[in-house]
Amino acid sequence: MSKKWVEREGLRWVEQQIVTREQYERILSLYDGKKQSPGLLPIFGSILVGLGVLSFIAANWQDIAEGLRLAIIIAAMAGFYAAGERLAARGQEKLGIALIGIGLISFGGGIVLVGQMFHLLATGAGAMIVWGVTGMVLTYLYRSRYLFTLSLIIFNIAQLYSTISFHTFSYTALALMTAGLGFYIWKVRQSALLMWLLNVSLMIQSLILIVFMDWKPLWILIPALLLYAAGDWLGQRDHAGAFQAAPLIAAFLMGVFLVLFYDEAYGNLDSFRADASLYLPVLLALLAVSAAGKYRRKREVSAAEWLLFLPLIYSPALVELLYLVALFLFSLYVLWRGYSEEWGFKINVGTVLFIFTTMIAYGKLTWDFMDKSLFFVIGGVILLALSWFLNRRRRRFFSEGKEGER
Amino acid sequence: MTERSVLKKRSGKLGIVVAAQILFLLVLAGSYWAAGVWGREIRLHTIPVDPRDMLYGDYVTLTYEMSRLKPEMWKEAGKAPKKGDVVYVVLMQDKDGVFHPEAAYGAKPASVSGDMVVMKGRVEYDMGEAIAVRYGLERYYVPEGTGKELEKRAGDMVVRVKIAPWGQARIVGLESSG
Repeated sequence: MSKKWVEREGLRWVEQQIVTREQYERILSLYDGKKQSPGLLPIFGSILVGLGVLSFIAANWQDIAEGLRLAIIIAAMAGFYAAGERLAARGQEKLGIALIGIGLISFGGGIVLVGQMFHLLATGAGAMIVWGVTGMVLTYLYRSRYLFTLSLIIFNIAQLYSTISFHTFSYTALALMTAGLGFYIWKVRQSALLMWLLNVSLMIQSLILIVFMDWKPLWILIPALLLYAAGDWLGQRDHAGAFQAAPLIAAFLMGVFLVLFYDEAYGNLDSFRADASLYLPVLLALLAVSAAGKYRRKREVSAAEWLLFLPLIYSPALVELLYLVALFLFSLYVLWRGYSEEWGFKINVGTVLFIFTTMIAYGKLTWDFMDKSLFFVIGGVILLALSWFLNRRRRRFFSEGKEGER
Repeated sequence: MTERSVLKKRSGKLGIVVAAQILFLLVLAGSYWAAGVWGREIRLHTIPVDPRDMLYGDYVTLTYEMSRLKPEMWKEAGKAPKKGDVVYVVLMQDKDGVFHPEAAYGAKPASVSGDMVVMKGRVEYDMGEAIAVRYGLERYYVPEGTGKELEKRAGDMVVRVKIAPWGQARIVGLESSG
């Protein structure tokens, strides 16, 4: 919540004699901007300096002898670490961690530099995995969300590098990332943001694996449902929500993908469908795990989210339509939950999903039959009308003064 | 002062982590440096490839004769190797001292004669008429902006490579062929 908002709304509360003038001043002082430390600034600074270090190396400064180059990067790395630790120990936690982050990026720079010195394409993603593990160790040492995020990014880059440059999927990178950073979330810091970030990474790596192995796209729903079902067992509601967001996004996009690219006329079902005798049992088993979790935590109503995981693709006909209906129902479900939980964020997400699905349905169903200009005009009108309607609904909700943070 | 001792402990741990990183970089660099000193030098021919993806920033991409193996060079029983498989390629020296691919195996050959070397590579893809293999020697870094000139000649050059007794290989130089 911004201070400006409190300032403005608070005056109204004083006018309506809900709070006294003095109470208003005291509330305002709680939101004193000076007290909020600028947490993002050092992080952006750290990223910029880190990128500078990397591009400095990438520029291949041939004028300096190789050994000296290595010495410079090692000295810079050690310097950043030492300065970071000093600052952190003296209470400048944010700035200190930012410098530790530059140290970590410099270590990666050192690895790249050694590769350049000897014209190596390296012999695997091994060195990059060492880099990611170093980030992980530092995350444990400093309990830092920033270092956690850096480590995640490094592991994802290592995976991309491994598949693109070496044509092998590194199960080691995936396992180390999941075990190391998952354990951190589980035991050290139960943070919704970190859960979300880790699961986004897991979905990215699943996607890389499926594309790399040339498996049928439908398989992405299995790791997604696995994470989703695990989320059902989490005790805290907001943790479960953060945990399940990434798998749900992946499943939603899979639905969109199917609607857009599946074409009954061409009969290209086989390029999407996974082997049903293997796929369906696994899917059912995971749904059962999810159901048990929901029942245990009394969240039965969220079973509507299974809509995105239903194996509609095995329907003998009308596959696209079934997926469209599922996407619509899911969007409506998100909207409905947003209103009933009185949570503005969810209402906004539901609105966007609903409009997005409408546009896909419209594009898919009419593009072939309609004159192009008519297509755009009607599409635009539908969008405007929808957004007017949903906005009115939303505004009414917000103006009833019900907006809670959740 | 417990807080101070916790902090002290942390900076000690950081010291170990940083020392490990420095050691890692030095060992990595040192092993390739040593390969250049004690390795056996061989010379390899490059072949021209589609020039579109040859220059990629500040390095030139090299494709060797041994990067494209004829299917009959595969000496193991059974099917041709799949994408991602490790293969061992035997190279034989010609009278000019340049090494050419002779045969490929799924396991390292026990011993080869003096005019042969074994290179470890990984299958990139199997095109049917050729098996594409990567060795980790496909990149040659050049000073920024000087790659264009080299790029034109990269398809017909001799690359000097050093192979260490413990298997590491690195490029030590490029020269024009012939």
